[in-house]
Amino acid sequence: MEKLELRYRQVDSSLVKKLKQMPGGEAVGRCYQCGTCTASCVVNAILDDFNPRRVIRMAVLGMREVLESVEPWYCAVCYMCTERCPRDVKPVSVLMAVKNLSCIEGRVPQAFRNINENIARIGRLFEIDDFTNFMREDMGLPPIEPSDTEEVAKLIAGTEFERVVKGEAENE
Amino acid sequence: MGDEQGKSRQGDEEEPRIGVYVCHCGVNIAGVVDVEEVAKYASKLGNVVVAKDYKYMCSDPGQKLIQEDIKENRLNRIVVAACSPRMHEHTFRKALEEAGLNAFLVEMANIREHDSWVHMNQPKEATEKAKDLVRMAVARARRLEPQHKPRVKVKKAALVVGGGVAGIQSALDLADMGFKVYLVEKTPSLGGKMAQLDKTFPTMDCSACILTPKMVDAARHENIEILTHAEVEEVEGYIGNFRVKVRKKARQVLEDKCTGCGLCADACPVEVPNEFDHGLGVRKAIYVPFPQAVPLVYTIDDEACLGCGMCEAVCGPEAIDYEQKDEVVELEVGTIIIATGFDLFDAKRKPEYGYGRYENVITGIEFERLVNASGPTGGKLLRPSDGKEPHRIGFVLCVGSRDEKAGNPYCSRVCCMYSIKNARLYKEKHPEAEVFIFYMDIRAYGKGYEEFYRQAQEEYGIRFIRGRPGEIVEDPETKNLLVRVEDTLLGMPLEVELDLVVLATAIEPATDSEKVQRLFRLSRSADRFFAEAHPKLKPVDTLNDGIYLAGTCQGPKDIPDTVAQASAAAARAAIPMAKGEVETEPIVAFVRRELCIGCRICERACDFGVITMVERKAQVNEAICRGCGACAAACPTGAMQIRHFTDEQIYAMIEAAMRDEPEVAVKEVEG
Repeated sequence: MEKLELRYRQVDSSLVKKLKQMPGGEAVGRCYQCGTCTASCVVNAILDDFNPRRVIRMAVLGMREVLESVEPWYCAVCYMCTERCPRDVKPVSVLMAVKNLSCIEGRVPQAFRNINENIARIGRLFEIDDFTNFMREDMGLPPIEPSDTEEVAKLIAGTEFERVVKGEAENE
Repeated sequence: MGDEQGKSRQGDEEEPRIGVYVCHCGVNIAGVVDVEEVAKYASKLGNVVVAKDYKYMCSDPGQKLIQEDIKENRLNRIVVAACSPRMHEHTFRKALEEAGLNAFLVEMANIREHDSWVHMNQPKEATEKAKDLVRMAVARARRLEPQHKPRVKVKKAALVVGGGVAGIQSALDLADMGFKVYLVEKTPSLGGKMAQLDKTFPTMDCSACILTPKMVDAARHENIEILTHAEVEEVEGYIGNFRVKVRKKARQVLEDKCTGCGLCADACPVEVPNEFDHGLGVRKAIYVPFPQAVPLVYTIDDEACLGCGMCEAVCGPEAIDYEQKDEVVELEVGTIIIATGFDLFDAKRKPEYGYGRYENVITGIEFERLVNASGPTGGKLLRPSDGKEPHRIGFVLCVGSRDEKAGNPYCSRVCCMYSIKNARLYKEKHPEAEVFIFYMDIRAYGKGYEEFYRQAQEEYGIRFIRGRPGEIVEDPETKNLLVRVEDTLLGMPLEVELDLVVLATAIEPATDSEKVQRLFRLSRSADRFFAEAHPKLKPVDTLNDGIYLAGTCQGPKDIPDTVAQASAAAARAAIPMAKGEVETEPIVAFVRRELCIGCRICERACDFGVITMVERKAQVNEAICRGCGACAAACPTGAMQIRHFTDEQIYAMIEAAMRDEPEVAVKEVEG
């Protein structure tokens, strides 16, 4: 109970307004918490930690933890929830808006910052090691050469990606 | 000019003497607009003799104020700057009449909805706008002409369209009041959807047991003429004098000869799915929809009949007539009640629930037929896949209701209750069964409903799970169903294995409601049901005078609400018939013949077929003109005019809108 009270005291009523202004987040206020999204979710089927209905509930209530949570980042973007949502809330897009907002506010969870860092450093989501190339050779595939990180660096410099990686808020 | 009707009781030919009354509407207007300043401004306008402001013009003292000024200052035009004319124009027209002035010599300037309410943060600008609106109203008031409401006789007969419980109730009420009623039903029998139900919530009355006596009453009533297997084809006319053509489709069975013995159906070799049982059972090509049908007359299904002659051979009273043709009946009625009911959402439109693919997924209405003693299984609920009694049943609510994707954002209002009712019915017979209801919100708003719901939880042990299933998957071997749902109260996903799933499909507007809308010139609200004239104060009237709504054609409803509304519609429809005559709107089109060049543009502009050409000039049938003004706007020469909204009156307003200074008084009033 104490925990709940604490959470309600920390709510940020501007959160839902911000989300509604972001592409994808427009319909977040329409959700009536029926749970069709969660009951349709392929990720939830194997991972209790991911519950799209709960993410939307937290966002609507103005619980800022949702921006720091890894939960929205588990979405596999399969669109099953969006296909079935009776209120046309478009949960996939709402989750995308939540993720974008956590980028803008510099609150991307560390695990996802690490992945982004990989892109900056090696131009890939994950490292290609000798073992990978050995496996590829076994399958008759050419080895993967290191990426041209210069190109990637240019792209990163030209976008706001660096800030996302570093976890800095937009107006800081 | 142009108005050859009677003169007002005073002041018609005199110079306009205008009184302007600015209403405070409490703080609604005065809280934003400087009403005193507006009244002072108005007093300087040409022809204005008095200008006052008052707290509530619509109140008794407010009206008295106008009436006294009319007498003392010989006023002959009144401008009330207050709310929308839709609110109180009627009030002030009455006040004028009482003071001996023609009711149409009042003009409203809407300084509330059009001004103070929409500019509540700009008092200065709002006051200026109020002055503009008053100046325009005064300009029109100078040119107002007295109008007289034509009276028309009302035929003391009514048409009721739709023979469900709503139509039956309306027909019985009107007939009991002594009016002739024609009750038209599309299918071969009265009864509608209610006849298909098993029990009714929350009293558990047998649906047929309470409905069939009413059907019989309607059939026996000396004032009711029932036309079943019949459809309205054409509607002409207006309140008091509707002319209606009804097509009585050929039954190929003579109604006056058939005794309903059923030998024909026994002999008939053709079996087709029975629509009354939603295709779960079969009927013959010659049939009555259900045993208690009214009238109990057999009908040959044209599409299924082979023409083998078996029925004709066994029919004792020689009622079979293969040569029977459709018959068109012409009716003349004063009022019409629309009670055309609803259709059910097609559950196939929610493919994730597997209806139509999985045998053991059925709909609520199919459940009703399966537990009904006169249904296809004799009242035993058996699984369609293997004919076994289901042990675990789940009811899914809101299938197609409260669903933007299905295009039905509204609540169907009956599904919670009928699903709880069906769940209880099954638990009564099978106390060991496990029954689940998957819901989002339970809406148990009616009398005795909440108690009914509580009993379902407490005494029947029905499990209510708050969550809308995401999908239903069938086990191909057992044909059992796996329902994937989140218990949103626990925040936990569940997989529930069930023997049978019942979908509570939404109430939707009847599939032919578009046709009915066109025939009777009705309008529909955003939910596609027929629109009432006012959601609160005219809930059974339509915008087409003399036509009323009853039952689910106006929106989802349970049986008590439907019956109450049907009685309400009957009472409303009786008013003009009891009076014997009605006043109609004088605001209709008229032609200035000297200007008409016979171009026929107005004829094409008219949506109501009111304009005909006589000697190459347009002529208006004023009795059925709706006064919409489409013809007047289209007319290139100004020949076509709308009474009370003539070009002169409208141009005067436009000119006043553009001119800041008070106008010079108009000496001559056209009229």
